[in-house]
Amino acid sequence: MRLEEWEYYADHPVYERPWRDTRWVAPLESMRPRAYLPYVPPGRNMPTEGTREPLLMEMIGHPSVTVQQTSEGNTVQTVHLYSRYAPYIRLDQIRNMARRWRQALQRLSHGPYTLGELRDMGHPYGYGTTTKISWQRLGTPRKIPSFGIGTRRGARAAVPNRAVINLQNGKLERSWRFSVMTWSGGVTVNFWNEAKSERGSAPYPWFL
Amino acid sequence: MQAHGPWPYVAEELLPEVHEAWRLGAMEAARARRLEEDQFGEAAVINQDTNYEAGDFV
Repeated sequence: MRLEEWEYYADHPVYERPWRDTRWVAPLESMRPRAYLPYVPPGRNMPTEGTREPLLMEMIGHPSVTVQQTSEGNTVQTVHLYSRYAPYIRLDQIRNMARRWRQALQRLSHGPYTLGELRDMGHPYGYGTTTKISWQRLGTPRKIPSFGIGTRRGARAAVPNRAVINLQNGKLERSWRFSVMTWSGGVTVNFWNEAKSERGSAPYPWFL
Repeated sequence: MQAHGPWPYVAEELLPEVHEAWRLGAMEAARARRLEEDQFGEAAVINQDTNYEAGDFV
């Protein structure tokens, strides 16, 4: 390196930026657009507790909805609604909506297929047989095959809507519950299912 | 990651309506609150809240 370059770099470190440059050229990985952040008055800190996605289920579009398992083994879907006026909000409409939500869960719990039919169809709800261990396989469910002339022997049949649970003994359909809880900062609506298998009390709503 | 089942399906169907109902409710509550504050003053409303939270039902 030439001596004048050496002296120049000694006085002008490359990590220095002009004083006018106060913004990043491109957003860094953890940056979020200002429009998506809550309003915080100047001088106050950004609230640290935010929405979280504990199990990274397919709720990315709705960070205010979570699905978790309680210590009793029940699967709980929680809808968080926040407002500083929560103690003064009339909850009739929210309760009606919660009732409709529970009805929708019940309605999706009486599909027509029996266990034998599902076996004959090649277990259309099942996961593929791969070398991955079971909980990793949950991330890549087997694709629903399309109808066509290429229907081969042994191919897995399709069901119209895999959100529908098939009715076997009706226990799961009867076990849907909901609650609406008010607290000072909002309302929490919980939907859960208390069904357990008769042998070993496995919480099978969690496996859906 | 969930493969199937009604959990995300129902949320996608009904969550917009729930949010709509919640926003309307919050708007009405905020309006009522502001009316009370204009009529009785902020201190009176806060005092009322404090009494209510302490269990002093009048």
